[in-house]
Amino acid sequence: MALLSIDGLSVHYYTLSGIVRAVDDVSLNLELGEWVSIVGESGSGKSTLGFSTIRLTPPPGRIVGGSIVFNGVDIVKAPDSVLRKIRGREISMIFQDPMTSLDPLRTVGSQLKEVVEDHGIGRGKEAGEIAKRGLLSVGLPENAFYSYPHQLSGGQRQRVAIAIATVLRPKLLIADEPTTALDVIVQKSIMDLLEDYNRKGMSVLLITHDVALASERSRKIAVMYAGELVEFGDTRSVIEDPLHPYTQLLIRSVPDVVGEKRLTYIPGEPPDLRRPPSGCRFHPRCPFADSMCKVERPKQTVISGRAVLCHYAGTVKVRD
Amino acid sequence: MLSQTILKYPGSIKIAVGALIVSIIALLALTSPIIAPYDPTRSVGTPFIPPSREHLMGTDHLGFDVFSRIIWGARTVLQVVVSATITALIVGVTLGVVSGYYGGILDRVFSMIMDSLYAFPSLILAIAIAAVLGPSPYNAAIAISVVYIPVYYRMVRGQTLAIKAQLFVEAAKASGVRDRVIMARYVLPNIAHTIFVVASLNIADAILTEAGLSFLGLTVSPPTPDWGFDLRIGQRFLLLGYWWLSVFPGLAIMVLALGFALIGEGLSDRLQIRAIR
Amino acid sequence: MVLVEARDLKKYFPVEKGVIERILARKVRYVRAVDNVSLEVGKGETLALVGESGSGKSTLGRLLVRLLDPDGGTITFNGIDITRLKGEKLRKLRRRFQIIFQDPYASLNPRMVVGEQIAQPLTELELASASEAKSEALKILKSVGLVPPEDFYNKYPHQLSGGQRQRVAIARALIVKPDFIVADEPVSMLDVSIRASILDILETFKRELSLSTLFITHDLAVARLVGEKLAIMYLGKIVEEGPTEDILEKPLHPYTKALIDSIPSIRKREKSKLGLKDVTPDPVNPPEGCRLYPRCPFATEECKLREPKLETIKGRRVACHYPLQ
Repeated sequence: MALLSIDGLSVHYYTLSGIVRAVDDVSLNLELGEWVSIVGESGSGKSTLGFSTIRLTPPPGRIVGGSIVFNGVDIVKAPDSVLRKIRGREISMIFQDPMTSLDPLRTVGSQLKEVVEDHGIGRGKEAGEIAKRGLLSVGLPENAFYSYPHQLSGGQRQRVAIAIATVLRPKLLIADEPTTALDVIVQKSIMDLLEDYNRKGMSVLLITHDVALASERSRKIAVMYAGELVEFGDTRSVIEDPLHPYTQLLIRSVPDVVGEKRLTYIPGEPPDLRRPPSGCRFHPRCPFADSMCKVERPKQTVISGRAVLCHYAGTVKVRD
Repeated sequence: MLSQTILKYPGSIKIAVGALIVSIIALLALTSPIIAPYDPTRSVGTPFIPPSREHLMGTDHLGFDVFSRIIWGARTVLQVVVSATITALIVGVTLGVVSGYYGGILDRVFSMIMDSLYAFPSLILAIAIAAVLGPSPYNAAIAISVVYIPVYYRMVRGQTLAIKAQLFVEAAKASGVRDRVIMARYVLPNIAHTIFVVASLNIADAILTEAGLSFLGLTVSPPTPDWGFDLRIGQRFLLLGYWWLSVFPGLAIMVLALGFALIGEGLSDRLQIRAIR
Repeated sequence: MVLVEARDLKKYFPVEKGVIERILARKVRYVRAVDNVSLEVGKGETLALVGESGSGKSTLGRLLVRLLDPDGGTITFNGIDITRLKGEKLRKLRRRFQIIFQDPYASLNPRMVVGEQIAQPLTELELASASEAKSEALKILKSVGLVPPEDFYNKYPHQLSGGQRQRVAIARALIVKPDFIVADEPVSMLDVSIRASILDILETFKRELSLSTLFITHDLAVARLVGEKLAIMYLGKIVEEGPTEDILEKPLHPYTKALIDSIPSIRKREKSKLGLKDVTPDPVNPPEGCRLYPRCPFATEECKLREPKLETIKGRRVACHYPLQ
């Protein structure tokens, strides 16, 4: 049984200028110990999906349909008291800006100790020891315990956030663009750290705009476009043989330091999700779109273990 | 539908009520020769007639019709206050933008002058200036505008500093746009909304200052109708029971100030919401 | 032929201090954002300047178009010394060099229609009358792909997407047909699927105007797409410079190698991955010898004591005592 299974999830934002269909009928599975990356560009709904997974959809957003079953509990319907126990202890989250989860006025050590004490894992001295060990295990020096967040670099702060998020040994870590604000060299070391945790059995749900990053680190990749999950499957097969035209074009437009040099882009812009295009949401930008794509919404089809949202999945291929 | 509009445009109720008050009073001022029942500068009855059908707000100690004096008085207060505010606004905004944009010695000198003006309590400063210049509506307007120039200056200078640090100003400079064009087209339009808020809140304050000046007889010479002046005279007879001499001018001052204050607050509500978005 | 040349360029920013510190400490401390940097951009050439945040790459770009005053060194543009140029003379010369910024949301005036912002440099620099400027603006709107141009001319920035705004910024910088542009991370805030469309526009103009470009980026993969030459900056100094493909193929400086190895790639790469220690360098008190030595796995006593100079090795410049083999 999957650790996390999202089924037909829809999340809408009720704004003054209309309803934004940020996540629309998304289904996704994550096995225990697996690393799944959700890849998408800005406005694709990837972050909304991440937040909604622990029912922290930012207002005015609301989960309007579907279910999220984590370890046998339906997160969408669970009472707040159950949810509070799951958050932090079983699922925790880190963000692009680690300062969102750190108190600027208190030392890193006391904040970590507090988390330990709050969840009744240890008291006083013992909690302090656990906290110190937590900092060491994310690769921070011992004296970081007495530092204030502003005395640390961006990368070190993200390490602290990871220490806080993992000190309770959660089963699942949701990481929302954790390295977007960091330099590549630091990004690599943070990703290595997450990979260590993953190897020790923690499942990771990474939300990122960076296809290359996702491809290097994750078992499975979920590609989102305009609120929909357009392709989901094993990383290598998605990267090497993408089935959805959007995935094909997206991968081709990623610049690289090796291989052939090319300037490829997808014409047009992502749609306004208050008025999403009829039929397939990618049809205005898709080179293969025909009259059916304009009218009829594609259904998810499964081709050799991969879920694809395209009328012509498996039959169309972008050529060089 | 209506509730949606209110949600979308916060402050619109305040603005609507404020604008209604101000426009009614402005209309009274414009049409006073037509709607005032009596000549406000002539005795039209016996003194101290309480409010009645012939004299809606009664008559004062000289037998002048209070209602007519209120209507004509709107002219005085609006003329003095509006011209003073416009003057203060033009001078204060110009100096503020130039000072904030160029910085340096010029900025320091202006800031020092403005800060020292600002240090005085506004009413006392206005009284001092008006007393030196002598009682007349023009001098009152000058006194009031001097008092409020620093308010605009400080606000605009601060805002200019903030806008100057914005990337689009640097971009304009880099593309070869002249400084005065940057000030006029890049800085000013981006602070205009705050200027309007401050101006409407300020007019409310200026009305009270004007009332204070005329209360001391520093604006118009009797028997020209004037709310502040009438309030002062009326106050002498308050203890004798002739309340209508002071209550009606006082109310008029209060309502007009309230009108402008509502507009100002409404505008600032709307700006804050915009800033959050 | 060299168009833009910087020699020993310096820019030091004073460090903001608290009130008590200001009273107690006499000495003003500086962040050495750009420290003795020399570089050249040839006519029609694109030099990609790569560095991480805080490397001083943006400061260097702003210095070259004289949005900042250098604290030392010289800048020569087409043989003219522009280091101390000021006022109207500098403004008039701005027709020759322009800049495109990273943030398309902040670099346009929110209260002016974009068409006017594009046309303005022409009228302000007295290169065209108002009506000519407008028709030029419409033309360039079309060539940056904002069609129909008449519609886009009258739009305000908030009505456009990030990619469209960046097109506007490019149009504004290029309408005066400059000889040199600094492109300061022009695509890093844009989605990957539209990045190449912006690079494409720059490439087209580069060919048409034989434009020289300093392309500033933190992303080596983007640098590779745009620049024939590459310069790597670390803590205010250039550590390696040379032909792009050579450097990517065989970096000589450990920092360059770490940078290349850290970039995620969708293509399989089997290489020894060089990591650097996650030590934040303090730009106010940079290490005395080589600035990389606290993080460098190959550092020796010499690196700690003596600062390496940029020396020419195999057709490139490298600042390292022990360049990689």
